[in-house]
Amino acid sequence: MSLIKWLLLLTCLLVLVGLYPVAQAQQNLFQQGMGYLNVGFYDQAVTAFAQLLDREPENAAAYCQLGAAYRLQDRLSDAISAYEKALTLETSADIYGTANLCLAMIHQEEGVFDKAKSYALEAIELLPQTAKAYLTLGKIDLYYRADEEVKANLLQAIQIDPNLTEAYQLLGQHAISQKQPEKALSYLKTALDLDAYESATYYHLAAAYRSTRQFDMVRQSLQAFQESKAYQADVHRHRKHLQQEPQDLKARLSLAETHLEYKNFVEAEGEYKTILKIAPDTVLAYDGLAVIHMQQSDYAQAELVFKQILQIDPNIAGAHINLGWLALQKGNLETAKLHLKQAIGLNETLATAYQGLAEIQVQEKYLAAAISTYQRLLEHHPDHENARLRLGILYATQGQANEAIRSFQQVLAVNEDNAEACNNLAWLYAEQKIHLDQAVTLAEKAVDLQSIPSHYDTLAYVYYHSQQYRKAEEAIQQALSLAPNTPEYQSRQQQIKERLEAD
Amino acid sequence: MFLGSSASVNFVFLMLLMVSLRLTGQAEVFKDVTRTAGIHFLHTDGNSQLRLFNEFLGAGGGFFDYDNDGDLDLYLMNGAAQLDHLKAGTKPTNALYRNNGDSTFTEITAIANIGDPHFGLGGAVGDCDNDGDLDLYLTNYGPNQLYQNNGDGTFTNRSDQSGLTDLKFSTSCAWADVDNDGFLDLYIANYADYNPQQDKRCDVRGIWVYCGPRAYPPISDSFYHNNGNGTFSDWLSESGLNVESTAHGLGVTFADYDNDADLDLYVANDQDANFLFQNLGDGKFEEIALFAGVSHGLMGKEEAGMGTAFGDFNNDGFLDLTVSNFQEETNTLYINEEGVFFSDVTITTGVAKPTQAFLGWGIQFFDYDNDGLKDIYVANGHVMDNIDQINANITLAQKNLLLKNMGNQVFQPVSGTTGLALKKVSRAAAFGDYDNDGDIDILVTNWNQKPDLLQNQVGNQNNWLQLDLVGTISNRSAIGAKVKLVTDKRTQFQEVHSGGSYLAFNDLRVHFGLAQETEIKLLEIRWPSGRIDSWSALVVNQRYLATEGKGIAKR
Repeated sequence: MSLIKWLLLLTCLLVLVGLYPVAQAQQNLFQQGMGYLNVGFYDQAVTAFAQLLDREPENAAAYCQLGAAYRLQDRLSDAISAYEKALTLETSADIYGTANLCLAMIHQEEGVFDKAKSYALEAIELLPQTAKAYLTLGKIDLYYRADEEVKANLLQAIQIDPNLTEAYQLLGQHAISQKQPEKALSYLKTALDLDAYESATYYHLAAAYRSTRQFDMVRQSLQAFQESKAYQADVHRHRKHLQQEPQDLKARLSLAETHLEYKNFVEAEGEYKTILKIAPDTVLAYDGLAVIHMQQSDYAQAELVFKQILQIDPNIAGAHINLGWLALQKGNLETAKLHLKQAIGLNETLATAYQGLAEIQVQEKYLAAAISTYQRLLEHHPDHENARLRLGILYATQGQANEAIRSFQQVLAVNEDNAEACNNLAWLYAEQKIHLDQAVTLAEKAVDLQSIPSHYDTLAYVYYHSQQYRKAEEAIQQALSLAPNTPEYQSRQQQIKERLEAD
Repeated sequence: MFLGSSASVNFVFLMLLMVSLRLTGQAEVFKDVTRTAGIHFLHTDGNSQLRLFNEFLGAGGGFFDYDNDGDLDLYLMNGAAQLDHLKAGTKPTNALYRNNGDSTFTEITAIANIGDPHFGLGGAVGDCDNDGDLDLYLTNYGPNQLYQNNGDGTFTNRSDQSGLTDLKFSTSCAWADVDNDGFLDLYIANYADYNPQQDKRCDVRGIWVYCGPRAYPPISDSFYHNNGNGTFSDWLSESGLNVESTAHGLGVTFADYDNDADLDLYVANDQDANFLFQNLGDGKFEEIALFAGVSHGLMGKEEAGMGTAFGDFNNDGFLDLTVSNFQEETNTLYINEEGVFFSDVTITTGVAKPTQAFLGWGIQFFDYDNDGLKDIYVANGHVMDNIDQINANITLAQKNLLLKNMGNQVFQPVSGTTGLALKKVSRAAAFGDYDNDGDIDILVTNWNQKPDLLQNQVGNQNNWLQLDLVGTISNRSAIGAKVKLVTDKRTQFQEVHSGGSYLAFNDLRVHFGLAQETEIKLLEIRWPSGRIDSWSALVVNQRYLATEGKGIAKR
């Protein structure tokens, strides 16, 4: 459906600009109709093109676009009438070709293959450089079991447009039917490289693997098939609603979020941009666009979008936070601090703003200021695990062992399985030579939760202070096996060795 | 001399013209004999004028020899008024037509006590009490009914005593002995959780239309195990047939697709993925449709599965599968890949092209021309009575399709006059040789219209063989029995099935088309009990009665 739209838009815009001098009023109506089509307001598009045709009944381009609007509303017989009417009028080869192509596609869908084929042949004659025309003829030829023609047309389609996913998919499907599974797999994998969201491709892939009896791959393909089906079902549900309620921005945002959730950034971006065409000040759409740019690590674009958000509403704390984070990435600490402070000024409960600010202060070595920022955060979010953990580390770094111990204990009160807190608390207990039994338990737990070299090192340290030198030796060996040549661990190993030898 | 020559030339020209007309004209392959056969039944959906959701499914029917007189009788399901203000006056009922043995029928519904007045949909026949006559289970919107054959031309309603009064909105059903204990169990497809008192209004672009299946949530199907004492137990969970994702079930057929001597089950669902339940050997099932490649249409889409049938169209000993679907979806043909999985051959076999423009329901593999290759028939008709307002290119009444198996894994549409030229709102299609002339005839039911009895005009130009199978250790109807027939040129396989098509029940006799072959080299029956009986040197164009372990005799 979107391909038809694309094709029509392209063709008819060319006509409008280049070949068809029309009065300003008519041109406005045409543009209005195109605008409505572009954002999915099909009823309004129909009205605009119908008004234009009242004034100018010989406008084949308008009939063509009217057909497109009907087609997108699933009003197939009305679409056919509009396209057929376009064919009766004097116009350019492009318009004739487009009308023929659209008629071919509709008749193919409706199972009227003879008509579909004759329209497709005419379309190719008129639009010899349009990949979609060959694709459509290839698809129709499948039903005629005209194998050579199918292949030739589909190959021609991808020669013109190497990114035409559907052509690869059909070539794959055709190769399966010709009992050429390896060829099928190759075509289908290309189709998936171009569009990883098309469930039918996974379905064909499963069929290709079935025919080679690679049943594990069948299962894998079917798993992907079901995931993409779920995504498509969500999209379909939203689109169906939007067909009835095209102005429902909430539903459009929901659709865009669905695309985003499945990481289909191209579709998500398109949907957000459509929303912005309908309602240019929709902050959530900008926000969605920014998320896409962030996920794609396109920070420059993300920054631009966040700035656009602040132009619409300078009091959006979230935009300040993100701009702060982006400035931090660029090492621009002053700008980052400015945005984060603005965010806190707008909403003093924003934990991420405090965190960002505190980490900048850490980078600037203002540890006391960082401690104070974390304390402010904790006033609003007393159970914020990460803030307490960072605070503990800062206290420890400042040599405030008791405060550090209290912070880590508070972390464990919130989450007893916080490996880092277990590890740090164990270290501090051993260092302070207090609660050594508890220190051992905590260090062992940290290793169980997360078997990383630093946790083994802490365990060795704690065992050492508990005079369990053999265990300490084993632990430090584990640390060194995971991170060989770490000077700190080597020196601890030496210390333990000496102690063992002395005993 | 000169004049004589001229006359001769004209005569030759006329002869040529006649031959040419005969070649290009349409033959009468199936003759519509409904009226002359004495069938005056008219289906009604209750005439609510409210587009109630359960109306458009139509009603089924089928062939069965209820009085054991050797010819097929005919049963037709009917709807009923569903709203109180429409219930006054004469109530429509289902109808039983007795075959008079001369290609005509007499309606004997009341005499036989089988005029069920519920809102009827489908049914299945089988000898569920193994007493030598065929019992009838009817699916309704409302309580389903079991009519036990008394063996004297009458029936007794034993729904409550048997435990088979299922209250769900049921559609197709089928008998099968899933655990091979010698008694027929029963699977019922159910459609939706629906109550006419809370009917919704559905619109397409402001036009009031019948709602599609997704307007109402699906409900689980039903499965009952035969206890062997006239009662049945709910075995849906115990058998593993209670899938998590319930669906709008419409078509049901049992068959041993993997040739492991137990009956598997296929269910065609409306806009939901179809089910293939593989029998694990002890009456327990596992749903494997997606893995086996038969859950979706060719493009991985959940299609509107209506009817379904198993049949070995390529005579390789493995049952292939077909499903009828909605308008603008093709019917689907799956070829069985040695019992391991299926490949979708809808396009390559030529089934896609003629079926995409129709909305299919009843469907079956059967050898209409007795050439030894199973063809396909599909009954068509739209669901929206006002479809022309939605799409002027589509009609409510549609032509049914006969697809001839050309023998090279290709099917071609057969055109014809009368029976094949009808355009109606068809639903069920049942198959059987009602006139015992050696070829298979068709009964088609139509929504709010008279049914069509289509008499085969061409099949018996080729040779044939028919078998009545009687189980002794196996269930008496021999449902699930596999029959292999070897002739000089080919080997064919048939399996006795209850169910299949849509809302229909077919002749349980096994029919083989033999083309011009005259010698049966081997006839082998693998009974559900595991026993194998075989014979050779049978006479063609003959009906036989084969009794498990006891031999074969001409009928």
